[in-house]
Amino acid sequence: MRARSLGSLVATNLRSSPGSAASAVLGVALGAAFLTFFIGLGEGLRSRVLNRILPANQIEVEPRSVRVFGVAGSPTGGDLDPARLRRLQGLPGVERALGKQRSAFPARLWGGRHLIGYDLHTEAFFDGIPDALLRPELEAFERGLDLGRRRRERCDVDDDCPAGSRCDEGVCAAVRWAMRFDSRDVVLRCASDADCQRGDACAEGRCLPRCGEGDPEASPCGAGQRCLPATLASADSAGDADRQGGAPAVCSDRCRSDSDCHGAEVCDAKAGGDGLRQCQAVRCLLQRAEDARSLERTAMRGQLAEACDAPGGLCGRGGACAGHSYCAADAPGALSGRCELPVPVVLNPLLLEVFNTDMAASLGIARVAAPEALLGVRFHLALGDSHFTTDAARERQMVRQAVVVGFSSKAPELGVTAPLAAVAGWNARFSGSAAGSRYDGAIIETASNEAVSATIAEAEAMGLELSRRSRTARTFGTVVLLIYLALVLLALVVLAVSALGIAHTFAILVHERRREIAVLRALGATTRAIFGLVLVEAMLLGAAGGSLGLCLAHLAAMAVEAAASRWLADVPLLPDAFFEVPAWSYVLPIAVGVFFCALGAAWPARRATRLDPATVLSQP
Amino acid sequence: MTPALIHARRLGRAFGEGPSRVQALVDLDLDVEAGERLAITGPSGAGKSTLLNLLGALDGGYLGTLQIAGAELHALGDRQLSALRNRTIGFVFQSFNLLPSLDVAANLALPAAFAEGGAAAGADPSALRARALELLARVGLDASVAARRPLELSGGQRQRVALARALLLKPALLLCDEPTGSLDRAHADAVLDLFEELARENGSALLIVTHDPLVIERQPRVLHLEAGRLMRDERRQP
Repeated sequence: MRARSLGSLVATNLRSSPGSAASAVLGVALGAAFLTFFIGLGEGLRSRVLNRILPANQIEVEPRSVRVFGVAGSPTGGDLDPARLRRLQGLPGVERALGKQRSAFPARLWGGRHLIGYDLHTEAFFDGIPDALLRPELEAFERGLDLGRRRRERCDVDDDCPAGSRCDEGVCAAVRWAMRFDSRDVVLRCASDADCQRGDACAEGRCLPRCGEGDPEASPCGAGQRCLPATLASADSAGDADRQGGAPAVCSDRCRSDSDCHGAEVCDAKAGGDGLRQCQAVRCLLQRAEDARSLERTAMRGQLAEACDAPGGLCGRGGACAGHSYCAADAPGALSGRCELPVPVVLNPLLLEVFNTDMAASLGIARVAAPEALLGVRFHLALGDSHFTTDAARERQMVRQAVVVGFSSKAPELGVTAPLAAVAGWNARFSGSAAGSRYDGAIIETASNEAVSATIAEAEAMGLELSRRSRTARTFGTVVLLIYLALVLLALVVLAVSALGIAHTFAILVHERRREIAVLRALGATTRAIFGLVLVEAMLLGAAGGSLGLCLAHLAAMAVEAAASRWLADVPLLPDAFFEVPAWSYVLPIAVGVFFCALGAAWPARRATRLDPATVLSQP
Repeated sequence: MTPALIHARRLGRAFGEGPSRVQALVDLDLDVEAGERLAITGPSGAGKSTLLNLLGALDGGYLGTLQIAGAELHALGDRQLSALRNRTIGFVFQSFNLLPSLDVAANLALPAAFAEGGAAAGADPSALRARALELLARVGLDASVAARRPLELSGGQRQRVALARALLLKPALLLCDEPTGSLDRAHADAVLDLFEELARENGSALLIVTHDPLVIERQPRVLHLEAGRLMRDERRQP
């Protein structure tokens, strides 16, 4: 039978039975709408909630530890050192394995005066995470805030601009905070090699990677670096007799301009023999010791200084630390320091929620509804100091500034996340070089979700176990998956019931049209054509029902999103949307509608082919 | 020698099983040549409609031999039987059996819609449409009727549309069931003239099941059935 003729007959049949067609379409539409709605919600939960905690192809492992009443005790599985991390990296199916460290030293932080009127003080715990792991999530978070589309306002200084933006050439421009989570901005200061982690040496007053043949701790230098003896690389210690002779070589940054240098360092004016120059810290002086603990713009920037013969060795020369840098004192109470960029840190969204739900009310201060209000907020870190303990190595304490550059579920719930280089460096400084090169955990990314189970087994064989976060994420993922499957099953049950309705409707239609069917048989229609006629009609109804269901589901999803944004507006850091609509979910309800309608109509269609035309046509 | 268009030997048809078994047709021998005209008559229950269904390849449950256009119907599958009904046989039913949901033009085109592999399958749709309109004119209906639904037409008009539909693909055998049953004398005469004329033009054999003496007396050959048996095969001079 010709497709055109078939289409014409089907269309005519549909027109001639609008009531039956409508009831069939509505049944399928309901099932398809359920299916689309639940798939959208399930995908949304998976990608916008679950994947934020830990993507399906990521696991976090840590050295196995003894648990007493569910509380983790001392590690029993041995240290997770760089060699073990390389073994994890080499496992089949593993894309990359990145180590992370927790702080192994006391610290406290304070800040918030500009936001809530006075400073909050608390103990600080750090997680060091590789930049590469967190950057994509921070970028996604920032995209969700949509900072770039804000109205461009004129300004004179940064304070004229709304949160999340800065004054750039007289116009407020969105700050790409995610890009600030960069270990290149972290400069680890030192007085001696003991302040640096294993594999680094102290040169130029900062920890630099060791290099050179014959050095077992050496590593290759990066692009733009040159392997120089530490004594040559360090202007500060060039005259230090102890360093002569046996001094290790370090990778020293070479530069042509300031932009080649890390942090707030500048390219030295004096060029070497190769035409390249050396990156150097900018020395600065503070007016008063209290200025080291101040976030006042004028005080914290200090005054630029240069070496001179005056007592103390540093003389002012005017100006202040440039850009976003501040004058970081060499030691608590010292007036001299170096210009540094604040350490970029990331917070867990839960912190904001705890602040809003518990702290704000009890302290009588305003809630922080918009997370972007915290972007760019600076606070102080007193590293090596504590509210509760007295640190023996007081001379190593430092006061530094940190800046909030984003929110991530990968950050610890009660603590701050900084680039791994910073935490590893601080661990080495306060707890010894071994602490700086020992990981507390590793995040393993597999090439596919299917490789996760095998990787967990391999990691467990190596004396590692899943972290609490990873276990929670997997449990949550399983629960979400089960609920998702249950809801999809419910939708399929609705569709199956609608298929029964279709079967009933078409059984009646076939009975009503038996004479027409007999005439068509008499005129030369094959049984296949009759079967196709009934089936195509049902499939068209299925496609219509599926499309209607798709529209209904999208309307319902929009209504839920609108209700959520209205009623849950005060809940901070909720996902920007609860629904995720993958491309295939546009096709699925239509395909499923067509399938179930075809399934329902198959039996009536078969009955239609078995009608005896002679008998039917003989009836009056 | 050209085989007969219809060749039946010991053709029989029974319905039901056991004690309720009814022998509707018994050992009927029949040959009908191409272009021949004949009437089948007999009292109610004589087996006329059963024979018509068998000859129209609508009922395959017969005993004996039945060949149409040289093909034994028992040997044909669904597709070949459908093609035979489509290409070789034209039906004009007593109640016309036009599809009420389609307009006249679509009803006329139905046989072409089911044509597979034959000339009609490859025919230009505009040529088929022209043929349909030409047939409509030949049966005395205006082209404007083409857009109307069957229920908007009179009984006579529907009868003519049914005839035009049956002749669309120029069948070799035209089967008519009581074609004048619902017409008055004057209209019946005109319709019979038309049937005979068009059948002659197409070269179709015309086989009419009827009780109507007017129809019977116009046919050169009359088959008399009684209780499922062929009692008389009467041939007359035209």
